[in-house]
Amino acid sequence: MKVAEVGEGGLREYLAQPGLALDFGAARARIRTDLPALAAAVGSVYSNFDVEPAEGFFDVTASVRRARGPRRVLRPQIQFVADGALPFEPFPAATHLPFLEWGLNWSIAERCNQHLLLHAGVVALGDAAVVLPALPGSGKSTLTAALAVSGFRLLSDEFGVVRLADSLLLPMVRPVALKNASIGVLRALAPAATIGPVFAGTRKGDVAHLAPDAASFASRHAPARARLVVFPRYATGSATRLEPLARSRAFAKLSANSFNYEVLGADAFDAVARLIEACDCYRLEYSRLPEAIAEVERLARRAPSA
Amino acid sequence: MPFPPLAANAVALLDLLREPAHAATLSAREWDLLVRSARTARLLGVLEVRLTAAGVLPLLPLPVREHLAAAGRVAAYRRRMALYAVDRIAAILVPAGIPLVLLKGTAYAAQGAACADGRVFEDVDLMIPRPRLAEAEARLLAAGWAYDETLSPYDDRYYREWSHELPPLRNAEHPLELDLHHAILPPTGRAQPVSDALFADALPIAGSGLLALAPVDQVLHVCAQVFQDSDCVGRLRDLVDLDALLRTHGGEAGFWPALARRADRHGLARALWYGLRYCSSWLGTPAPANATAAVLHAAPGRATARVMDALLLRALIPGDPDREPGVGARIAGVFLAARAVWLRMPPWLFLYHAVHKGYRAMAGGVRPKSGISSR
Amino acid sequence: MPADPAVHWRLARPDATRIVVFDDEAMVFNPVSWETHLVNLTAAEVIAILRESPMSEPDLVAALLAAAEVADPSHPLAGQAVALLAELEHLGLAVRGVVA
Repeated sequence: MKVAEVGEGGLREYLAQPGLALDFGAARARIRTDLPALAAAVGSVYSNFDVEPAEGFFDVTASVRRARGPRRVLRPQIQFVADGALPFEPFPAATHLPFLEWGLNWSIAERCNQHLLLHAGVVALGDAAVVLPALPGSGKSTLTAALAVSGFRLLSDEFGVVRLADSLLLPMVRPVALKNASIGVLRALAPAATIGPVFAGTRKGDVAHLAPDAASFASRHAPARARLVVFPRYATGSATRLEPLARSRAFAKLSANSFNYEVLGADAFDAVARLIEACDCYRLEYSRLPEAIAEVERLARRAPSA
Repeated sequence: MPFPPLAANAVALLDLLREPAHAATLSAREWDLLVRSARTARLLGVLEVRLTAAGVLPLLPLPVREHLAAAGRVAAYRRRMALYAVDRIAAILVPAGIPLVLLKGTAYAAQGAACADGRVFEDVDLMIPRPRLAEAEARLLAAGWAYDETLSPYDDRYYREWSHELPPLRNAEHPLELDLHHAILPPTGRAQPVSDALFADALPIAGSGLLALAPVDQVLHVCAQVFQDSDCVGRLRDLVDLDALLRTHGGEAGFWPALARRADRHGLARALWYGLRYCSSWLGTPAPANATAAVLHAAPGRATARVMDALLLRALIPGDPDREPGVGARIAGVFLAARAVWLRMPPWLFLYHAVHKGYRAMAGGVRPKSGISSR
Repeated sequence: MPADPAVHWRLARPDATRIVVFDDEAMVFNPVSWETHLVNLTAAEVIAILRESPMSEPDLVAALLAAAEVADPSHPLAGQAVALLAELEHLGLAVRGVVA
């Protein structure tokens, strides 16, 4: 049964004990909350996910609950709880879904050190994956989302999960966080795509989440071989420009943009070397999203399949 | 004296530490609770080592193996970083003829001791004689080590005058912090280990120009840290270190009588009594019958022991991962924090610091939680 | 800076030092610090030579010049190599030994 098929009341029940179980691919999470608004938001951005039994072994178990104390009525706050601990300060209750997503990202990064975790969006055309590293100002999430609604399957927005043994990319299918103007741009690009509620006034401005589609979810256990590494750079008003990037530079930038490259030592070095050797690497400067999509698509179609 | 019962996940964790072969019989749900408890207790890496040694790893479900592997990798990284930092620091201090004693995990790693495997390394701990402290500090600062800029003058003074260590030092090239000690307990504390004896009996670490405490002193250091200088919260892993040390050295001729004599010399007999008690009860540490007898003179009264049992159970043993710490655990933390403060400083000093610092902060030390994540 | 015949060099951990060459640059894994360095081909060559076997400073320079197919021993490459070795020592990759 899909999350979309469960009514709001049913979803709230799942999110109470023992929790709503979600399979992202490279990790399985069990989520709990007592906030009805968060339940509805989860129902929206995870609509294409299957509801799984919440018993058994999970990689992450986390809950978002109302914070206790005097501020509960005046300016309600929420807490993220994982394994009996509160790793963060409380957040305003109105930012519930971004808070949950952020907490899940942190929990995954803390736990999943059996894989190399790049800070990158990853999409794929067939079995050929495109890695989009998340340097500041890159507009990585916008481009990842745009590709995901333009025929590419979504592996991940936040984590490029690289299996150390063979450098294959493992899907970690999660909603894609869109900020400010990107929200409207994606709506225009893909009116039929599911975008969750807009959260105003977060630290990053307005935030909304693109729900992964059914096809991406269905392929969550299908690894892909990286064939392209594209470093996007969004610059207002710029022309679309694709420049080849030396592999050594791509290696350096990719490894600098990871959650745990240093921790994994020689194995991470070998994995990145193997990944880069199979890839063409580019810098992509753009301001018009359809042109950027077209460039990436052109490159992806040219790349050999795994 | 019977113990109050432990929660299910704690029983499972302690059992698996003692008998890793039992891993073959656990269900997925039991694994879920176990892995989460072990991670919170900073023992997931140790568990991986023990399960590997017992040959049961291939029998476990894949996701469990992956979590164990992940913990092992983080442990290996931090161990490498600790040894790398020690190497660089030794190059700065050893040529100046400053005796450098490695403490705790840093020593276990350099010695290749069993308890270093899978251990979560957090800081680099070194001890040097107090008269050489200023010189060592100057050399380290000149070599790129620096204090946290947010350190207040009050905190700085707290460290230097009333504590047994300098404020933590950092270096851009090293992810771990350096804690430079001149003693193993605060100089204001009620127990005053004999620093001269610690240095005099320190043993060289082969091929390094560095020293480690003698085994009896390593044992007493752990006991002192947990039972003389902390609020015991989350310190199960220190007991696991203690258990490993006692198993390693317990068979050496004359070890146990020497340990008892040394405990008396350092004024740490009570701390040792506690260490032996909880290690044997929870970790099954073997000790000869007369080992506890030798420190019985320092044992607390029955009522105190009962209270400590109850407090430690709630503070030191990890709770149910599906629940936040309950009222009992929080109260236990407060009482043990009060105890730690009491042991750390005489009343007049307590009042002085109470004006500046929070009560819990005093028990936990002035430093903020080390922000080392899995990077 | 001329090569000093009294100075010998070796890698700290030759078996665990990794080099991957891409076009005109290389990535090197430093097993002592677990850092990864982006280096030019000269540096990659020096590390590769030392990984094969430890050697004296003049021998290393000669091997480098031979690999670069440079006949003139006073070529600037020789001086660069000596400076490079000091850098590698600072990074912990290479270890200097002095013959008494």
